[in-house]
Amino acid sequence: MKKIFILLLLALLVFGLSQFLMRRNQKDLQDKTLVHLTLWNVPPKSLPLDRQLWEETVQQFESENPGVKIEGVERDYQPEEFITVMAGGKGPDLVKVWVGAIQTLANLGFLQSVDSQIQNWSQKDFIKPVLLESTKVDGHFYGIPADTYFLFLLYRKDLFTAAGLNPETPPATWDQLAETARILTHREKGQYGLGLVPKTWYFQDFVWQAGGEMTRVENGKVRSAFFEPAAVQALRFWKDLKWKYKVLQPDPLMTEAELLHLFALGKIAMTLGTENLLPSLITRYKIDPQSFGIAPLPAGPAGRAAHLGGDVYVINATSSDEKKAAAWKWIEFELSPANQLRKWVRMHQLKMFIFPGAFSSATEIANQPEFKMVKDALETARVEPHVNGWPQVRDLLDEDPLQNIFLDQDADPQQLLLTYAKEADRNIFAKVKGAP
Amino acid sequence: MTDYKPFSIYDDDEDKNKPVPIPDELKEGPANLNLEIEDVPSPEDEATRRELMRQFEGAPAPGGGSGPAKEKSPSASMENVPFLQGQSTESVEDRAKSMIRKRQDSGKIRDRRKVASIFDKPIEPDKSIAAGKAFWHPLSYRAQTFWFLLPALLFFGLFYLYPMVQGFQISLTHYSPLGMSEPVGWENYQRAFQDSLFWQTVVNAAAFTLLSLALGFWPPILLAILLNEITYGKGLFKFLYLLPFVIPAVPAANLWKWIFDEGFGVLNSILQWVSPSLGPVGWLTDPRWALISIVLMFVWKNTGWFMLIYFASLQNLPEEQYEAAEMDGAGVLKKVFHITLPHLVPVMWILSIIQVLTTFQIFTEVYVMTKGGPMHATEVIGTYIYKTAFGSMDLGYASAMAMLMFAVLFIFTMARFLQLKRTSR
Repeated sequence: MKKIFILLLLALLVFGLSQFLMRRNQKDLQDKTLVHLTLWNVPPKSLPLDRQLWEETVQQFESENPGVKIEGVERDYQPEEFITVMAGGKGPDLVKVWVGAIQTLANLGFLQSVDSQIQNWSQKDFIKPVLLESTKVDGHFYGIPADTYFLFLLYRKDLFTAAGLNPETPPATWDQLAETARILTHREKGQYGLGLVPKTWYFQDFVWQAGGEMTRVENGKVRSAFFEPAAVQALRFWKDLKWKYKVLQPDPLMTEAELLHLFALGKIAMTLGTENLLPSLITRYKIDPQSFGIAPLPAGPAGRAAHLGGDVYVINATSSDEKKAAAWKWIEFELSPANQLRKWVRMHQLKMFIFPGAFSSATEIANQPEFKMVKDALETARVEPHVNGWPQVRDLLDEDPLQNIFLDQDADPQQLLLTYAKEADRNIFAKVKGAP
Repeated sequence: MTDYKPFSIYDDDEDKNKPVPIPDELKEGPANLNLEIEDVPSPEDEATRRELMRQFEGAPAPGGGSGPAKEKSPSASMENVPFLQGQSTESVEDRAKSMIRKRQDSGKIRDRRKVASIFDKPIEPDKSIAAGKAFWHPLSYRAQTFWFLLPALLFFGLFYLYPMVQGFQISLTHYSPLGMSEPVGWENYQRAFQDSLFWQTVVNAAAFTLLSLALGFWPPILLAILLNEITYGKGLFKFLYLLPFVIPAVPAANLWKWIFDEGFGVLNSILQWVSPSLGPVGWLTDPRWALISIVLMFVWKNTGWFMLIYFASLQNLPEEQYEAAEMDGAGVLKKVFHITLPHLVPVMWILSIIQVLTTFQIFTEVYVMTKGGPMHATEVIGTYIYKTAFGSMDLGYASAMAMLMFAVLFIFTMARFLQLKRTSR
């Protein structure tokens, strides 16, 4: 009896083990036939609603594309990380990068050209042309705009009300901006009218509003244009905000994150920002969405202008052809009108904060009534100069002249811009090929 | 054994001329000496043992005669031992050494430390005793040392040496991570020498180093001496001083960034409370103050750590030196200048080298607090390399600058160590 029992037990064990191994082999075989697509930009678990939305999207995609398995990674594009993983051969197959990084990454050979795919893409004609053009390097497209941002004025409605200003009529011109900021500045309370970071990223919008340009392309060669009268006027306005009206935050070298912190604390009444800051204000600082507002940037002497940017899907040039094809399938699916609409509906259902930039510019989502306030800004939006050498020139301007104007009361805007324009032309633009 | 006193050096010692009693454990011969020289006796050993036995037990008296002197007293037996009488040219130690050499030759000795331990001092420690194995044998004593060092060597090779070699290779190219790098020879190095911003970062790093040495060299020594003197609360003070060091660099730098903030910082609030005419000062935004503000933060962060090292060194200073100085009438200052500080000199050397190396490579504190601004006033080599590598993605040039920094620091460190070696001699 005992022997029979042992034999039965052994038989059961052998049977169980064989079943387990068979299933595992089947799973391995199934996995081998699948294309595993490594995808960055997965929302972290600390943002559960975004995470849920992403998981639903993956589920939907995998059900429609049974041959592809998505392997998401909780990591966003950062130059130092990205270059390291690419050098180590561990780069993602698909990732969203800032549109301004396309040129550098394409020149390093990291990105796969999507010329052939884009020609047959149904959404091509609906994408904002300036945005699509900004993904072009040396005549080839290297990315697909996935979402958009534009620079706008972020202001505290509660501080407007406390100061006797109408919170529904934010400043619409430079003069109004300076005057409103002056009214909202109470140094004795540690409250300042406007928070501004001295960076080219913000300065270029003021140059456009004054009717100027940052660069010009003449006879196929790029040259600086930020020393021209319109740019000088824009820099003079910045200088006045700091030294004449005295409405800027005391530390002129604060980062955007620090300014946002002060804005959340009610120490700064207005600042410039992109809409992707808004969820952070609500989730991190627990601010009532009704207590702040967003508005198009005030118009300068030449009218309104704000720069448009966004994240762009790029495909890893070193991935296999199957993975590249699967990556394109994901892009097509994710940016399709059906998926974008589903995302908008789900964001409403999940009571998430919705902003137009979260959606592809190819969709009509931006025409929804809740985006009325920023619709005008979208119409006047422009992109950063898209010329070779621009990233280096932008860094050059950030480091010296723009900081100088906030630190030195006697700095001459015209002289400063002229000096650095000459340096940019001589040391940067003269050494690059020209317009991409 | 009761009153065993083999030798007396005092003339007034009454027992000096008395016969020396032999300890019990020696009476039965050398078998009780527990000289565990070997586990496996050999014929040569046996012969040596017999020879020793013969000398102990059956040595002829100085006047002649032969055969074992069974009726003799133990002391008389000892007196007849030739090497105790100065007749033998071979000391006990030499004798033992020759025995050990025989063991080595026959490959019997397993552990020379065990052999050495019976003699109070190592036996020719600088000579290879290969335990019966050749020098290159994987189990020889020297090879064992190598095996123990191997993990550390592998770690060093993989994570320090290999990246350094790679970095040098990259510095000679227009680097592309996907293997399309274009060799450019020494072009990146030439570019560095012509780059005014690079030289400014060198000057800033040197200024940072000198300022941090000027401000941060003496406080830890002073604190260590004070801490050494106090009787109560040593642990508490050590903890409090060490606390800034254990705070990670990024939060510490952020903390100080807000302390130094021009509009909302506590430092300017205090200044303005004392007198409105004193502020606000642009601690991190005024190019004249920015570098020194970061140095102050750096000194605050590292003083406790350096103090702890000095304090540990002071624990090795014998109390007798202070007592002798006190007996000679030395006051507190004389004790500090003639005993304490000279004792700390070697530690000072090492810590000053560490301080120079750390400050010249400073990155985190500067990057978090000013990002190299305002207008490059705090731009140091580390931040410039980082911006060049990951802002402009110019890894070839960034590597060349990193190599130049390494060369400068390597030369400095070697020079310092050689100087230190010469001084200690």
